[in-house]
Amino acid sequence: MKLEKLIINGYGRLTDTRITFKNGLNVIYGRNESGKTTIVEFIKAMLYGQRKGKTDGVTDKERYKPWNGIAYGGTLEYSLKNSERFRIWRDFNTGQVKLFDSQLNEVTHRFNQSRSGGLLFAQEHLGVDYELFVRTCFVGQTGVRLNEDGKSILAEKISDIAETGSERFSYAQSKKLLEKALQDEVGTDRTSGRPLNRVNGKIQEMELEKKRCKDVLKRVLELEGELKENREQEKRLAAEVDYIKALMEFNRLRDMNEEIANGSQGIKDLKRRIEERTEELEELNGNIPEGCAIFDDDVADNLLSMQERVKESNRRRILQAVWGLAVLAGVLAGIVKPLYWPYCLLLCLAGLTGVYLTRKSRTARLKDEIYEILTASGVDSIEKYFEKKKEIEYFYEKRELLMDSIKLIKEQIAAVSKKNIDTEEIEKELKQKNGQLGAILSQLTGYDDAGVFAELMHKSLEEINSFYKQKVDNLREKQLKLREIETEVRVLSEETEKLPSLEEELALAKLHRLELEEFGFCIRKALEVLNECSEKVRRNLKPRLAEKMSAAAGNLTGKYEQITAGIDDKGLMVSKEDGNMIPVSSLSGGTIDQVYLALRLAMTDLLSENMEPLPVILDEAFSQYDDDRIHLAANYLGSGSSDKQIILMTCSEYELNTIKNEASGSSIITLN
Amino acid sequence: MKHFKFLHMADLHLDAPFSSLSVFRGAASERRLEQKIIFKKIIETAQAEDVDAVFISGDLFEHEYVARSSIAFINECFSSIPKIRVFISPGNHDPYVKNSYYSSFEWSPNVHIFKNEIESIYLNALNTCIYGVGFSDFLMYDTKLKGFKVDDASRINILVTHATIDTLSGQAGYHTVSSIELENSGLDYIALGHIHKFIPGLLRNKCCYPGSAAALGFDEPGQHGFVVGSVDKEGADLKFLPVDTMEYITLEVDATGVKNPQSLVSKVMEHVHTSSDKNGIIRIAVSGAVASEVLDELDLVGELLKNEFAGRKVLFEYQLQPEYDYNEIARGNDLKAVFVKELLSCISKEAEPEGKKRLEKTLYLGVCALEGRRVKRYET
Repeated sequence: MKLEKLIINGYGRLTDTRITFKNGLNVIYGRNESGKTTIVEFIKAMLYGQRKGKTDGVTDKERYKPWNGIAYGGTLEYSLKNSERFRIWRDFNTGQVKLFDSQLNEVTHRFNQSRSGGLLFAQEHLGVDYELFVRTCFVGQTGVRLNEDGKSILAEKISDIAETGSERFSYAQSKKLLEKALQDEVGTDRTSGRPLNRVNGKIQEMELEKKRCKDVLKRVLELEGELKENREQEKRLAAEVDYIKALMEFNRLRDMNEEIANGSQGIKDLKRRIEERTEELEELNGNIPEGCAIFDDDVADNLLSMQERVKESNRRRILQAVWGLAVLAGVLAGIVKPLYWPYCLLLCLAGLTGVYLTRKSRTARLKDEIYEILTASGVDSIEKYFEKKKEIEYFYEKRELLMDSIKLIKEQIAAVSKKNIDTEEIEKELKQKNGQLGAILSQLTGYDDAGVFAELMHKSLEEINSFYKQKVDNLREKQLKLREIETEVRVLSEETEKLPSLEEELALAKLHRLELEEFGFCIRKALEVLNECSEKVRRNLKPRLAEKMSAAAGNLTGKYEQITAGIDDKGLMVSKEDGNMIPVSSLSGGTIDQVYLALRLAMTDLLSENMEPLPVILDEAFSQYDDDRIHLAANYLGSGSSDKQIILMTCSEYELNTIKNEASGSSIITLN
Repeated sequence: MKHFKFLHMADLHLDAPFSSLSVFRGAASERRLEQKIIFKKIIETAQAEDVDAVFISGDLFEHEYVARSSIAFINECFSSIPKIRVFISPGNHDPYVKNSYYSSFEWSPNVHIFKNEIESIYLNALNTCIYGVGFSDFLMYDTKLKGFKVDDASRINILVTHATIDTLSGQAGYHTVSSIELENSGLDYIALGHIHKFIPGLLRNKCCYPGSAAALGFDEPGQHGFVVGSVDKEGADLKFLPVDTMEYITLEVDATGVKNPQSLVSKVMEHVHTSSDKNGIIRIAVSGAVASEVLDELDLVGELLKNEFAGRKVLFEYQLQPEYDYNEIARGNDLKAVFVKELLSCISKEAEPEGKKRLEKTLYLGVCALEGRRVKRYET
């Protein structure tokens, strides 16, 4: 880039100032306070806008407000190495900025704006931002007038430039930032509690838990296999038990069948017994007399009652007669004169006789009835009647017994006969059972002990019973075992249910770790590349920079012809006339300024190789130079800089005259 | 001749971990529950459609993760359709290994599980023969179907298996089968599983992948379900029935030129508002070159987006690049230029996309450091 022309409408102390620059060396001469530094600041502000921050409590906008007039701004024209030409117009009052091309078309809209709203055309055209532009192109008064501290700062800056190709991009600082990021955001094997350490710990824990769950799942699957096996065994045992039960049922039926077969003989015996009983009964019936009703209990009771009443009647008749007579005698004796007592006695006797006779006829009737009964019974006394009655009752009882016996035998015959009818059913059932046994047995075949069951049919009942008991016990044990396994499977399988979510958490943690590792990888790679590049820059830059610096420094100082851009703790090393290498910081302030200027010139040369060439603006840069070195510098800048634009500000008439003599082609601009 | 009516499903992957959902609390477990609901719906459809058989072409569950209760659930579903025969051909995720639920669980009597040898079940009443062969390990390099021919070509012949047809791209070890051999085998329908996308009309419409019954991740967009079909000697007639109510959606947002976090959020929201789906799980892949301050403030972007999407399942994936003209920077001679040049050269030489991405990140981090900015990790 070359600065072509500037028109200052108003900026600080300057108003209506026009300056046209040329290629090569331009000298702006003016006494102190004539506005040289204001021009420098105007150029910076036109290209990059005024800085927002305050310096010494004042902003640029306040500092450079025009002393006279109200116009605050101006125009700056510049051209690029591709011959494009642009004009910047700024009004610092309003902050307005416009850019025009060589045809004076406004091209402002073509350029991006910064966050603060600044137009970024200078960055785009020059390839450097404000910082780099200022640090590379400007060598100001403050940069060269150094105290002892300043010397080392300058040396440091030179080292930075030599090391990184730019004083702004420090290798050491970049390295530190990357290492800090690695330490804080990732962590290493030597750290603890950093993200990577934490996530690794978490993953380790989860992996262990996952392994445990997987083992449990494996166990569940094994148990599932055992369950299946045990269920089959249970089925088999159940079949065995069924077989034995069927066998026992079969045996029972078989026994029953046999019993029935035996029962046929029994019927014959029973029938014979019925015949015997019947004969006996008939004989007994023959012995029982006709009209046995006379011996009924009612008749017997009546007979006894009548006998009692006869006895009672006789006893009462005598008693009544004695008592009646006595009472009558007593009464008569009381009321009748003794004279009439014989008549009374006769009357009593007559009465008593009448009563006696009445009673006597009733007893005789009873006796007749008794006699009739006895006669009908074929006996002559009541005692004999009862003897005969007893005999008849015995016959009856015996007949009853015989009849019961016959009935029972008949029932037995009927029952046995019925069984004979069911025999067919039993035969059928037996066949069924046999089939069932065969079917179960076929289920059992294939097992080692199938033969045992086939043989079992021929075993004794006790043996079968004992075998049955044993198998039932086995089945119960198996069922118990099954319940146990089922319970274990249920409990364990619940634990495995968290496996998918565990896997998800693990995947998430691993993803996080991967990101951290990748970030770590990128940081390490960046460090590695940065280191290599730093070496490369040093390697490439050093000889070229040294060459350019040596040429410039030699010309500027006439002394240090070889500057080694050797970087160590001491910074830039300079070769003395006697061949000794000394650090640049050990030189005098003026020499450091010259080395610094040589470095800036060398740097802009280097940068210009691939980028837009930048002008070098020197603001009182020779203030510490002695006369000889001013000659050398004027000669050097005037002779070798035709392709480079150099703007030198000076208040020194001596410097001006020297330049006029040493660099006659220079453009001289004088400020009033 | 009577046709044979069937339901064909595959690749349910019951109890699979859903890593992409694990960032949402409970979402993965919910999804596993949905898988069961989906399975139940499929079985209910089999009942409602009165099919003759259900074909499950592998990867019904995840052997490594499946819970016993889930197996019991599946079996209950099978028991609920006792008259419908169920044919399962184990896949690479649920192989018929020793101590697998296939071998040890007491399955409903209507369920038939194929092993590693070709087996045929002849359904006399339907004059249909069902062939099947399954995985007996997690990988299967050889196929038992080499030179396979049906026993009786006059029957309806169906094959159920978990395999990759050689005309489709697939990895070795996942039972690759020859399309030519299958086509000449005399089979009338081939119920396949393994590929998670519905692919009908293969081998002259004799073969179909129903796809995964329930989508498993963002790499399985679109509708998911199963197939109900009928087959006779004339050919097969298939109907795809979507059953999965949730869809994985990926939205790509080009954020190129975005200058600040707020603009990035607005840009993302513009894209999302155009998406009608409210039930899906959305992954928003934000890419493009943005101002470096956006990259520095990705945490803030995340917070802002979280508020915007409160209550919805949205994942953000940043594939952002800083808005640098690296080629321009590389034109210089300073350390930054040399660093950029060096890494650009590494990137151009790197063949692997992942490696490239890593180097690009390295480049950005290095430039951050060289510009004196804080070097910060941002998640992509």
